[in-house]
Amino acid sequence: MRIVIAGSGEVGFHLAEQLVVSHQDVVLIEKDPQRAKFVADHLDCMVVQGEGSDPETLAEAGVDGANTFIAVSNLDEVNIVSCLVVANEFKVKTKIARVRSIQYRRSGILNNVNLGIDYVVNPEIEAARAIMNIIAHGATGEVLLFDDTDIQLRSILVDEKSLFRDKTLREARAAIRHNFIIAGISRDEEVVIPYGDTKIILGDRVYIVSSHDNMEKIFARTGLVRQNLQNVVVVGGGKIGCYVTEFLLSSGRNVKLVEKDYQHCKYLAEHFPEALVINEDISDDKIFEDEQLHMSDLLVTTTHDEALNMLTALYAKSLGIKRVVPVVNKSSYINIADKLKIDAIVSPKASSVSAILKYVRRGNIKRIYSIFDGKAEAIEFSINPFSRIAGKMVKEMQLPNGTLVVAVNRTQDGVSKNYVPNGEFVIEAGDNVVTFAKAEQVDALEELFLS
Amino acid sequence: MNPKIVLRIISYLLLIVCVFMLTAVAVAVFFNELEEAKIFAAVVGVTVFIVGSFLFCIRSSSQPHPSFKDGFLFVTGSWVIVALFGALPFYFSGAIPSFCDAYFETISGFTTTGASILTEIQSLPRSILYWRSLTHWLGGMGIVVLTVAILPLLGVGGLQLVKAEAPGPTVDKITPRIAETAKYLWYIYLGMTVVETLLLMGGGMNFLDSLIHTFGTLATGGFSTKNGSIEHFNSAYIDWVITFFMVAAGMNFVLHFRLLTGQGRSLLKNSELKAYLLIFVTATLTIAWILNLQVYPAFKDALRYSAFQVASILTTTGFVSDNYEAWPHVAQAVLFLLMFVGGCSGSTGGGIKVIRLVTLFKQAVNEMKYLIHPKAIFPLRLSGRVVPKNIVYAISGFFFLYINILLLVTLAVCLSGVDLLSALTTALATVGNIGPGFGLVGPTKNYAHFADPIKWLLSFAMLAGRLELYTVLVLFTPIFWKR
Repeated sequence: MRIVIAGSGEVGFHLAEQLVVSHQDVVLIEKDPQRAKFVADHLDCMVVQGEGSDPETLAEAGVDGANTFIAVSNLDEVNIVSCLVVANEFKVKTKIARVRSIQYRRSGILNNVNLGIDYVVNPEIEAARAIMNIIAHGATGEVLLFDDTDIQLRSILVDEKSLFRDKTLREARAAIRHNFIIAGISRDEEVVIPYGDTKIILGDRVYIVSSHDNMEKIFARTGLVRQNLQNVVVVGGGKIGCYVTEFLLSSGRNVKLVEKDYQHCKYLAEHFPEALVINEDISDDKIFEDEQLHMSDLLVTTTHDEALNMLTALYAKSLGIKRVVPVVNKSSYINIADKLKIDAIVSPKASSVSAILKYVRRGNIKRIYSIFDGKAEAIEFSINPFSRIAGKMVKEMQLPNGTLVVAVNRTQDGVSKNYVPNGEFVIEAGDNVVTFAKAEQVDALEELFLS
Repeated sequence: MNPKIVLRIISYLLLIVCVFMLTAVAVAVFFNELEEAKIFAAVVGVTVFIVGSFLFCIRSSSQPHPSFKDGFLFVTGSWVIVALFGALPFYFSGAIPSFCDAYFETISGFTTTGASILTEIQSLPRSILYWRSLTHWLGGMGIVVLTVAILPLLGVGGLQLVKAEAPGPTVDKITPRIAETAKYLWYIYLGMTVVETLLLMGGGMNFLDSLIHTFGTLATGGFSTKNGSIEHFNSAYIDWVITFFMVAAGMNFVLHFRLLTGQGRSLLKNSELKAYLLIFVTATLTIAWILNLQVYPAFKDALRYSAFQVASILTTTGFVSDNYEAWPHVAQAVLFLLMFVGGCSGSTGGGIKVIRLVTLFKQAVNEMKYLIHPKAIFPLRLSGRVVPKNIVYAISGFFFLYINILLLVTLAVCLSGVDLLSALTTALATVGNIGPGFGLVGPTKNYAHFADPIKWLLSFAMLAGRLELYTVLVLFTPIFWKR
């Protein structure tokens, strides 16, 4: 399967990295020769130097007959035109464009058939959605929801007081009597698919799969009592900040919105009358004290400066704010977030990649999440009647190493029911199956489920 | 740097070469050379045992991701070790009693030089001759490229490794994955091997001779089974077949791929290919004209010998179909100049490579233009694409190093009491992976008369030349070993 990606910025690079690991043939188009060389040195894919909207470059990249074309350069217009050129000059099944501008989106122009864009991805909206999910579930870590089921995948950091600490999986399950499964553990920047005897240690981030109700009980048992996040500080009034503020206000929370640009503050104050808009630089010494920010329950940092987001979150945590959620893109920052005890991070890059991946691999895949900087994925499959695995026990399926079937949702007589399967559990046609896999094994898993 | 990863991949590589040595066992059994069969089998057996137990000791589940530094150490290290392994059958079978000689012969094989220390070739066991030429074939397309093609575990790192081994300043990918690219290159190489072998058999050679000479041609190596090289067969048909395949092997294999996949038109735009063919045709016609005047009255003979020898020296193969030292001095001078050229980037040939000379030439012309229009911008174009400055710098640096290594080797060889022309062409023939030179290393002579220290030095020169200097020399810089 050949996938052509135009633009190798953060999203393009990360997307290519993910696709290469799962054994796809990837061709990247990059304008800047230096960046092109960098990408060619770091990823096992073909790199064509040129403009993504240039038919000659596109032909050289072998876009004709490719499965998917993804335009993720920094300019909306270039992405739209690239898709237009590809749609008119070449045969490509799926065309995806990254478009940031709200105007284009609202005007509906992107739905014009002539443009040939099958799917539009907006990193800010994806990131804002992820933040809202996290806040709605108490901001204790990532929250991944699956379609047509109330099964959730959430992660918690194991701290000194945690119930999971120094327990094997078997012991942890015995201690907590609710039905759940630990799908993965991220430890020292690696993802481990655990077995019954795997021991959970201090500093691990464990990924738990369970139904919504059970999840709340488990979290309560592990010391993470659900906080009422009534007072929220949002730092940065950019697109992400605005979306998040809108959501928070509509859910009846108190919002303090901190933005350093005065002109922009006026615009924000006009649009969000219920919010308290503060015109100040968040790195200013006195702002936490003056505005009583440290009395808040939750702080979300959404500025364009990742380092500032990270540091502000850390500082806020040290002042006693209960939960912090910074927006961060760089892999190195994402990797240290757990060590710094940051509750949850949101990366527009990762959210966009998840959204694109889901679209690229749609079909019998209902949901797909890229977890922990792309090192693992949670995938929800729906099983069709012709599937090879329909009617088989989990242990007979010959699951690839490093993959797990973590939950099954089955609708019988109009009643939807969740199961946490063991080896003898029989998969039936019509089931929704949630799986968890290390990135290298994703294609093997997909082959098993989709063939 | 991670020596453990480096050793692990070298071990895999050695296992792959072991599989190829098993074919030598088959050849030995077929020709009833049981003594040799036993030696080949023993070498393979012991190596597999040692490497296997070594791999077992350092086994780990993690995937190896070699870094830039690992790449250089791995590529140089694997060539040194594989040559060591390849020399064992020569040494133990008694075909080459001195280990220094055996190592020289093997590294000359793997680097596709074709410089031999053997005076009497025809009487050697056929399995030994087969293995001697198989080293050519493996080294031609590159043992590391082969490893990357076969082992799926080298992803990103694979590209670094291929770059460190591949001839030429840049590596073209023809498919998104480096392993796929490596595979296609080997398929083309394999396909050409089959075709040439069949054509040579059609010219009256027996199967083993055809195969061995095909190895020598396509790898631009030059080992023959006969004391008199190709002259022995004295057939115009064989000469022309080998000439054709030498020229083809001296081209970039990526171009062969394009041709086979119907993108032949892009070849017309390729600056390097045009320059390469221009050099070949000009040199051939010049020498043919001179030979026609003074040596061969029939022009078709003159053309045949001229084309063969020009292709042989230009592509750094080193086959001989006529004693060119008996030719007029002008013809010899043209051949001498060709020794500085070499094949195309991405080919199996050695030498400086046509693309570097083309780039430097264009740069020199540009410098003159700048003298006249100091404020103008003259981009340097190759195949219609602008070449970045840093590539031009890298090539200038390479050229300087290359000339310096030549001079140093010449000096060292002179110290052993050899005349200047012989010493200089010895340096050219080893660093450029050609094989024969002039004077004491001329077409009818060999390298047996050199003292052991000189042979070790020349072995090093061949390796450095094959890996394009930087990959080997970088290991001798202090900055490489700093953490």
